[in-house]
Amino acid sequence: MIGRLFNKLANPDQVPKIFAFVIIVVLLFSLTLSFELNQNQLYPKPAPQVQIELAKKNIDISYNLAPYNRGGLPLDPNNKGIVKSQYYTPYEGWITAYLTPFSEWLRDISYHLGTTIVAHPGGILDEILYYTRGLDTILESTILFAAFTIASWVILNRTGKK
Amino acid sequence: MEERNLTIDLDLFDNIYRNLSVIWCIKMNDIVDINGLIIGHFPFVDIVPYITPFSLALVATIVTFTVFLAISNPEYRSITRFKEDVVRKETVEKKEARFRRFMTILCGVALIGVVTTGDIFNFALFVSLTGISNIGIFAGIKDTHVLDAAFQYGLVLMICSLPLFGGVALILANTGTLSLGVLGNLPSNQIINVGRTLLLIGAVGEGALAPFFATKVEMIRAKGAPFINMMHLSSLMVFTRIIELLLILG
Repeated sequence: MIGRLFNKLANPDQVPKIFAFVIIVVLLFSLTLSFELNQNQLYPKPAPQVQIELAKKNIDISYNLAPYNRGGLPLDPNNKGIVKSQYYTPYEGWITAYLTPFSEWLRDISYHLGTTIVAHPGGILDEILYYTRGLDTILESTILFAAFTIASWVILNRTGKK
Repeated sequence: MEERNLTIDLDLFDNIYRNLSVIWCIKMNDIVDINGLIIGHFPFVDIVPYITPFSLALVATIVTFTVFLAISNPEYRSITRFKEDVVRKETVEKKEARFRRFMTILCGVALIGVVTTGDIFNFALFVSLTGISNIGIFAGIKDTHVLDAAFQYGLVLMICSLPLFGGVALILANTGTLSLGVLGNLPSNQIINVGRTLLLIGAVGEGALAPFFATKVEMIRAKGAPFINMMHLSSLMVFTRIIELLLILG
C-alpha cells in the first residue's frame, strides 16, 4: 500500500494533481473560518456603487472617477488625497489627484474612467504602484521579462526547424 | 515654490529616517528573538531588507556559490557503452551554457532578495522569480524525459502562485500590514494561520521541496552539471527562509 503510494508520487505526471488536491483541501478547510477585514485599511469613502450613483447625479465631477475617487489637489500639502498605505511616507496623497490632460478629458465626458484605471496614466496608479510599493513593480516586470527570455530562447533554439 | 520644496525635502528625509528606525529598532522583538540583532536595514518605503547575522551567513553562501557557478564551465560527461571500444564525451553547447549561466546568476540575485527582504509581498515575488529562473535553467535541455518533468514542474509553479499570493493577501486583509517588523509583534489568529499554511504550500511548490520533488529528481538527470546545482541551493534557501518567516508570523 505505502509502496504503491510512493510509486505514484515518484511519477512526475501525478505531482501537479496531488499538489492541486492538497491546495483544494486547505482552501476548503479555510472556508469554514470566520473572516474579518482590518478596518484601518478601508478607505473612508462611500461604497463604489454609491459613488457611481452620485456620479450619475452630476453633483461633483470628481465622482466620475468612481470607485477611485480619492479627492485632494495635486502637489498641495494642505489638500492631500485620502490614501492609506502600509508604510509611512510624508509625501502621501500629494500626487493622487493628478490626471493627464487626456484622462481629464475622458473624466469629463464619461462616468466610467475609474473602471479603466489600469489603462491610463495618472496619479492614482502612480501613487499606489510606484510610490509606496515601488519594488513590487520592478519585481513583477522582472518576473515577466524572465519568462519572456525563457520563451524566446526556447523558440529561437528549437530543434526540428523547417 | 522651488526654494520651499528644497527645504521641505531635507526635513522630510530626516523625518522618514527617524520614523522608520523607530519602527524597525524598537518593535522587532520576534525577529531579534529568532535571528539575533539587526545589523542594518535599508529604510526606503517598501524596500526594507534587513541584515541579521543569520541572513548575513546565508547571503555569503549564496554569493560564493553564485560566483563559483558563474565562472565555471559546463561538465564533460563521458559515456561508455557495452561492447563498444570508445568513450564518448558529451557536453552542452556554448550557447546553451551561456543562457543557463545567465539564469543561474538571476536565481542567485533572487535568492539574496528572498533571504533579506522585510516585506512578505516582496518575499512572494522573489520566490516566484526563483522558481521561474529555475525553470529557465532546464528550459534549453534537449532530453525528452527531462523536458517532460520540467513541464510538470512548470505546472506546479503556476499552480502555487495561488497559495503564495493568496496567503499574503489573507495576512494583509486581516492585519493591515505587510511589514515583517510590524507583523512580528502581532498575535496570531485563525486567519493568519491559514495564511501561513498557504504560504508554506506555495513556497514548497516554488522551491521544489520535499514531498513534491519527484519532478526534480527527473530533471537533475540532465547534463550540464554545475548550473543545475543552483536548484538545490534555491530549495535550501527558500526552505530556511520560509521556516523563519512562519516563526516570525506566528
